[in-house]
Amino acid sequence: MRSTNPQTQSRGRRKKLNPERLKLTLLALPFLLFTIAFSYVPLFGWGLAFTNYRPGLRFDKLEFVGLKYFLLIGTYWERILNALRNTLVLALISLALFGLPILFAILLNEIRRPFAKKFIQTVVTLPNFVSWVIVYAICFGLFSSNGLLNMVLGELGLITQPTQLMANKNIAWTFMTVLGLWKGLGWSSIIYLAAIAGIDGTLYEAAYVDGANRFHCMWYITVPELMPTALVLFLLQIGNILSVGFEQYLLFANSLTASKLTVIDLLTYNIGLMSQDYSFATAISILRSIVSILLMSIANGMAKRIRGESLI
Amino acid sequence: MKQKRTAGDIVFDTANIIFMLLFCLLCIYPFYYIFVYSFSNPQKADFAVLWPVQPTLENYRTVLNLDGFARASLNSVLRTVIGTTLTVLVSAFFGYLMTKQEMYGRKFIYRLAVFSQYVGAGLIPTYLVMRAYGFYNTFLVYIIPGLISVYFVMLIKTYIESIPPSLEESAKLDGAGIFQCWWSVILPLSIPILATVAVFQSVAHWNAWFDTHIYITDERLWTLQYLLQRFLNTKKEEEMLRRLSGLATNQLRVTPTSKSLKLAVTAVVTIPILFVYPFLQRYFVKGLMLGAVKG
Amino acid sequence: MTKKLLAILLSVLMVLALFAGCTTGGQSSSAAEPSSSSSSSKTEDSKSESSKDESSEPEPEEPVTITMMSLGFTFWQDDFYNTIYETPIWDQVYEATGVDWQFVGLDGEQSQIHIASNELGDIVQIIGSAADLDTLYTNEQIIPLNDLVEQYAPHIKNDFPGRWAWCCNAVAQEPGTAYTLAVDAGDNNYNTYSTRYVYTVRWDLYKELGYPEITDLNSYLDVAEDMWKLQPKTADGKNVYAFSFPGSSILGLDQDFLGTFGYMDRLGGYVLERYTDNSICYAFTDDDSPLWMALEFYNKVYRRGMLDPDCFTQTDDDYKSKVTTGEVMFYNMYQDTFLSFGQNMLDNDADSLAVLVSVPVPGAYAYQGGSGNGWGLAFCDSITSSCERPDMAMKLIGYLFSEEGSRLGWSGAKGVDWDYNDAGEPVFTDEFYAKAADPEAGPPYTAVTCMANWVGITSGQLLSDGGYTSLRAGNDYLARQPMLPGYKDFCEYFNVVYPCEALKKAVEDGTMAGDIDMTLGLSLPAASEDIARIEEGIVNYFTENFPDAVTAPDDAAFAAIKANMIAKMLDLGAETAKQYWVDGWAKAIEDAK
Repeated sequence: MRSTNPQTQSRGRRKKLNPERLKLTLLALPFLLFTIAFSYVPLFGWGLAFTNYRPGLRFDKLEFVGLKYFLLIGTYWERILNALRNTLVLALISLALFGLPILFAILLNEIRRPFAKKFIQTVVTLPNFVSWVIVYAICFGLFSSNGLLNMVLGELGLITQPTQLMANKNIAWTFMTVLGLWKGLGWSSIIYLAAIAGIDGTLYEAAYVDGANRFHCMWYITVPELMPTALVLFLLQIGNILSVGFEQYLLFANSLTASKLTVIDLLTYNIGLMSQDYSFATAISILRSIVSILLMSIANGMAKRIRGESLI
Repeated sequence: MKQKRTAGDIVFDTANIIFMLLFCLLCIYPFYYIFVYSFSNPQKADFAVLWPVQPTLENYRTVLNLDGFARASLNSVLRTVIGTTLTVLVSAFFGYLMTKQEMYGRKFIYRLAVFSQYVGAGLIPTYLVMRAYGFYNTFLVYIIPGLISVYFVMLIKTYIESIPPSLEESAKLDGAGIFQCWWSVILPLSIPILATVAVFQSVAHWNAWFDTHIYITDERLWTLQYLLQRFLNTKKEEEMLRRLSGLATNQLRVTPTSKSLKLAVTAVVTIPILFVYPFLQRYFVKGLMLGAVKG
Repeated sequence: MTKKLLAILLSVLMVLALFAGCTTGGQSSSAAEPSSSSSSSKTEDSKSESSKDESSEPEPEEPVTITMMSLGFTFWQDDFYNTIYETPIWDQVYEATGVDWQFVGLDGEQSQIHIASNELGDIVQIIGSAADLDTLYTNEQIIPLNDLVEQYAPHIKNDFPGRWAWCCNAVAQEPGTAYTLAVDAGDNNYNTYSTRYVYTVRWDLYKELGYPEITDLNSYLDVAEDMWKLQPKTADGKNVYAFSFPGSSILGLDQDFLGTFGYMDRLGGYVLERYTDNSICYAFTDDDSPLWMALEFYNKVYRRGMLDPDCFTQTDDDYKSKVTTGEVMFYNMYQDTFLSFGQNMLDNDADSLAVLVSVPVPGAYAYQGGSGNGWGLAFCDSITSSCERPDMAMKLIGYLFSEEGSRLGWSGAKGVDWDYNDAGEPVFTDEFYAKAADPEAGPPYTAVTCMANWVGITSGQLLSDGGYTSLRAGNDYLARQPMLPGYKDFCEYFNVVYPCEALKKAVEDGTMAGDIDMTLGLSLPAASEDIARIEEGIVNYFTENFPDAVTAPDDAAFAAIKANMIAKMLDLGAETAKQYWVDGWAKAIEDAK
């Protein structure tokens, strides 16, 4: 791990501006300004959450309403709690399965033949390119009452009534997770494949000399080497806990599964659809940003305590 | 690297390959589905199950003959290539700078960047700001806003931190400046992660259509994804019908796009980008550091 | 090596970037599409082309470009709207008004942005949104129209005074001043094939059963079951279900029942107007509501095992697809779909009489082509404050609202698509029929009805020359329509020219109701914030709980669930919401007088 301790550079009572360090800051300044210009400047829009804004209304026609829309969120507390539950369950399942792409990348890496390896590497990323709309259409084609699954099971005489996988709220979370995995596993393993590619080959050589087999190598070399990347991604995912997805749930949530699949994003959308409530949506967005940043800071703090080093 | 393959190895390898191939079958299925429907006769597409019904090229002909198709494709390619290259370079340099712990205010700058991912301003303020910056109806709106992607910066920074500092120090001793250090030492060594970023970013550029939707009214600047997106908007139709229910939706005319046409559109817009990852796979190469450490 | 490669790549890209920068600058586009470009360039065009020192009675030699922006419709970007600029219809508009009419359709997000940046062209068309009207008014982006109408298009005031009254009161803050003009006033004609009508039969099976009598929902259910039993599986072995619906929206549930039992949909499928006394029925909680009627019906269907299990999960597209393949037997929403079904059956068996058709049932209402009242917030034109030539804009609107313009919009160009025959009656020309029959001809010969949302008089209005606005409403056209054998058989049996005429005749005889006064132009006010919130909660509750009602095991259970749900919805504020609509409706009736 590289780190240069800045403390050792300037000892002594007088704090002098080190030109080298300043130069670095100056170099980074354009990037900082860029980030501010594109990500933070538009945040003046957050002020709209405190007014009775309607899309397109001129700013000089606005009325200040204070915390009205924030308090309004409270009137939805039942549905918000339900949505929060759904969101957290799905997010936590996803976090728990965090190791899967890593495992997958390692397994992929173990394939000997270069052609097979490349072929499989490419093919497993294919579902990522298929939009959720198509995934839904495929699922409907497979799992509807006259779909492939029911036809086959019916022919084999295994069932009398058609199954209704997409209408079953008890398996809804599992179903969504499985779909999400199928769609994203190959794609998220790309990062880890890149990280594995960057591992120093001599480490493996040395291990073999010491009599390690491939499983030892995987466990004692590959996994630890992947840790930094994995941790950063894990941290980012914690920050994104409230954004488990939207389009997927918009498509799959129906009358029967809505109670399990309405996530925060979908709830906001549903509410906004009928009430055209720009200010309300903005208020929710502000709260979500605060929660995300808070979560990230906490997670980072914990990481700092465990690893001795902050991740961000 | 001589090593005997044990029985355990063989079992493992076989199981691995079988599992992978099965998974591959699952992954190819959607494209098979698209194939079946997009080559079907639009009137009869509802009957398709395992093979196209009354196979025809008419769907693809319709798509490829759309007005402005060639131009939109060119825009998409330009956007993807230029945008990706620039993003990779800019993010890489920023990522490199962020590894410099000795920078004044590094933590502040980095955190500001990281947190920027979690704040969103909403459609209209963003639009007004972008207009104020002069991005309305220009090609630059495709390139500039996406130059720094903090997600990539974080990945790159983490990757660079795993490079032994000795390499950079030896370059410094030879009198290299910051930029030179980055260009000749760090950049070549971070090829795998840069390739990763290139893959992600090119897909993002290729698939993007919302910025065209909002910032571009000039047809000559349309991207392929946007041109074809209009065919795929099912949710919008439902929303529109809901909006108009109860009013005089007398002769509301919705020309329904057949399923087979929609899937042909999907195929045309998806297949080109599938080639990026295989193309860039050669850069996911081990052993670049092999010689460097010894030296 | 890598460094060199990167350097070369970079320089190539720099060159390409320069190239890209240049291409956005000048160069002509590949297709001469006039339907694009931002409105600001258009307004500049009209500025340079219209001379400022013209007299106050303008008849300019140069065409003045008027851009109309539609807030909420993007279907307009379909092929039809790209090719219409080259048709005689467009030419005729220009000849009559001197206006080069350009149309831009914007979707929801684009509308917001255009309002926010004040780029609304010359005429802005509001689509179904009182909120938009209010925003535009508050932003001072639209101008009062009374004087312009007086000067350039007085017939808008005189021909349909009810509509004019509505227009003057549309903006609550300034009663008496018209800020927007609603399209489509007048009578509606019957469609060729009836839609939104419950009593649909499979004609071949109905015939096989000997044309059993249908008198109400229960007898219909029995007949439907008999028909279903005759064909429980499709040709490729899939199960056939008698009924289904797209569970993704309430509209999918009660559309058929609304029309058949004397209700008009005023909002979302749940704020309804009773034809009998023009009063408001709140579908969620009123006892007699067609929504509950529908649920009760589907519950009975479910108990007989005839309901498609996918009804709660499927979207509209899935539903239509099932009808087309025959997996769902009864359907009555979109013409395209049940015609596709008929065609598919014909492809399998050239003698097939299998079509879906509505049969007259005594006491039921025959749903007329439109949803009734022509105007209201559906499509309204306003002139923007940034319009350089409001006089020309009003001339354009005036033309579209005139008999000539409306006939043009509904039936095509005079002398090309239609003309007067020897008896002085307006009929379609042979050229029109030839083009209509030719699948390659495309719009606008086969899609003229799209103009519906731009012209001032609706399709079924009898004009002063003796013909309807839309000549498709005339028997001359209807008699020449190619029909599937099943429909022909139906027409022979009922002795009519087109299927829906059977219903029309029943109305004329008095056995069915349907003589609805179409001249009353009314619309509900916009929902206030609070009401919108209450209703969102109610809709959400209903959507999640109605499956319980549909799957109730017996009548008693259904009644209990119904009572429970109604009580819960009243808790959520249904009474307040209903009162809001009742009050708003009463005011609308007052204003229209």
